[in-house]
Amino acid sequence: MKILLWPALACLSFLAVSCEDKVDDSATPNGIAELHVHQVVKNKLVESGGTYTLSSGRKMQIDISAFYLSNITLKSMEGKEYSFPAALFIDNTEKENVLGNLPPGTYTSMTLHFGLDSATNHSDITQYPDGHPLALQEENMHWSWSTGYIFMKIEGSVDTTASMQGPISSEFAYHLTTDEFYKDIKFDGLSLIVKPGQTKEIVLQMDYDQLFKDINPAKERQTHTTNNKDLALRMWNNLENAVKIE
Amino acid sequence: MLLKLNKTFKAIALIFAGSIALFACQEENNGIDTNPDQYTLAIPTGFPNPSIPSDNQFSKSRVDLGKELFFDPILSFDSSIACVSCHAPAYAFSDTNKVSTGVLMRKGTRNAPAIINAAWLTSFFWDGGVGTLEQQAIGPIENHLEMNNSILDVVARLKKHKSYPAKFQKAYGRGPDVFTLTRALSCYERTLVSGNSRFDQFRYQGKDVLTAQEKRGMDIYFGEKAECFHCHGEYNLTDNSFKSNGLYEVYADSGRARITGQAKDIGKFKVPTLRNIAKTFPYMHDGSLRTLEQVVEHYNSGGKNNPNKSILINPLNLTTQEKADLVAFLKSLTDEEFGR
Repeated sequence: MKILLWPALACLSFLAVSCEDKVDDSATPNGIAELHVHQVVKNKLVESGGTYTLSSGRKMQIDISAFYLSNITLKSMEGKEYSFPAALFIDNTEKENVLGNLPPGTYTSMTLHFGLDSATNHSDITQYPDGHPLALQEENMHWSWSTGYIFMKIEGSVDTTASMQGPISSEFAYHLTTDEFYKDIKFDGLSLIVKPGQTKEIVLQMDYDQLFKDINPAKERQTHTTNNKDLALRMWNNLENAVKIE
Repeated sequence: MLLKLNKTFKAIALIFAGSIALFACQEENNGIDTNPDQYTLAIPTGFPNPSIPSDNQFSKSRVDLGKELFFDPILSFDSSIACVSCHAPAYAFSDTNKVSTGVLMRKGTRNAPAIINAAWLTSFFWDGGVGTLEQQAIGPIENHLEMNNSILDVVARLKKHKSYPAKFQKAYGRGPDVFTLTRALSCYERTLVSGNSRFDQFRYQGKDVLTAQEKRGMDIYFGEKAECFHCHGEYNLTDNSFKSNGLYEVYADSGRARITGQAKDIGKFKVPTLRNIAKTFPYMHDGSLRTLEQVVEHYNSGGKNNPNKSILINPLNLTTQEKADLVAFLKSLTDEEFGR
């Protein structure tokens, strides 16, 4: 028996210092939560360069429609909360945004944040690798003269004629940004049932028609937030009604 | 025999276990060269050690790469201008124009700051919009009045270049990307160190190299007569704060307020170093004062009335001789070796 002791100790030390995560096979496997966002104008999916008509009758072409979501929390029926702090970059390309592992159960509410918290908003953008949500994007979701991200960017062109039958040729640009615009939205009445090992998708809809409620893009065509805060705030305040879970 | 075997077995088992413990949790090398070619930054006498980011330590290959990029117009959208176009070594890496000319002859809005001792600075641009040299690199590249380019497009160009990919690989263990591009540029810029003016030699090296007039000017600068040292003191002749010097009653350029959004910061700009000031004309954030004599006259007057003007800006009542002495001292802040 003594002869076997030392090899056994060696093997035990190997197990003790191994860096591999141990899988508890007896535990119920988690599901995976994903977020999918449909950007629409009155149920018509937004594509880059597509033309759309608002409820007001105003026609516009949307070239860029992108925004950041972050700090998403799901709450179960039992009242437990599971948070996914990572930032997500949402544009109008088809992609799945994996939130992370979620224990099986029924989830009845979700809280998410538009924009980025202050620490993230002022982080060094150059540190993030290509493909990271916070890396430099083709849509230029950052300021080059200051630290800070553009939380939401909508750019394109609009028909500004009184008849609303003219060319869609006047450019617009809405850049919503700064720490002040970091906003949480809560969705009650969620019914998300996650089963063991299942990937479950939460589908969010962003309706730009609602975002432009009481905003006339023919006359109010530009805000970079700091230069036209009133317009930025009005658009931001429309978010509550512009976003819903499908 | 059995006892000997047991002891041997124990030893082998212990060595085996110890080896596993030592190597089991070793992190993966992330591809960055952990044995960089040596580069030692020369720290001038009187300066503290600068804080160098851990992800951008000096190496010769990094500095060389950054220098090559600094001088390369590949960064601008039409390949017409480089960093050096607005930051000329002969003028302490500043621009002798009021405002710089970018691509397509577009005029900027502010005087190009001199790149002097950037390794010791904690904010960049006249309004302090960014806090690191790495982030600062994005600004001029993407400003439509300067290089008018997308940094992602610059990266794409560098990847296709015949020699840059290998140089990036050698310096950073990976090819051109936003991370390595901004780090190479800033690594080079941190080597632009100036601390050997005749004033430095006098103050820190005990060399009696100032003229009598320059010494009189130094006494005015550091004394109660002009009190320049309040804002332009310490080892780098700046306190790195943001102040309004009363240049205007009403400012067209909001300055620091552009970053903070606060009215109390309108007209405040970063206090620049006065090192090499004789070479970095014209002066002020907008290049509106051409000569040192005009600058001294401005401060002597106490500046214009402005609600955000620093309380340190008051009429100095300098005599003609005293103004000339002060200008003479300012000229002694030139480091003749800097930029060569």
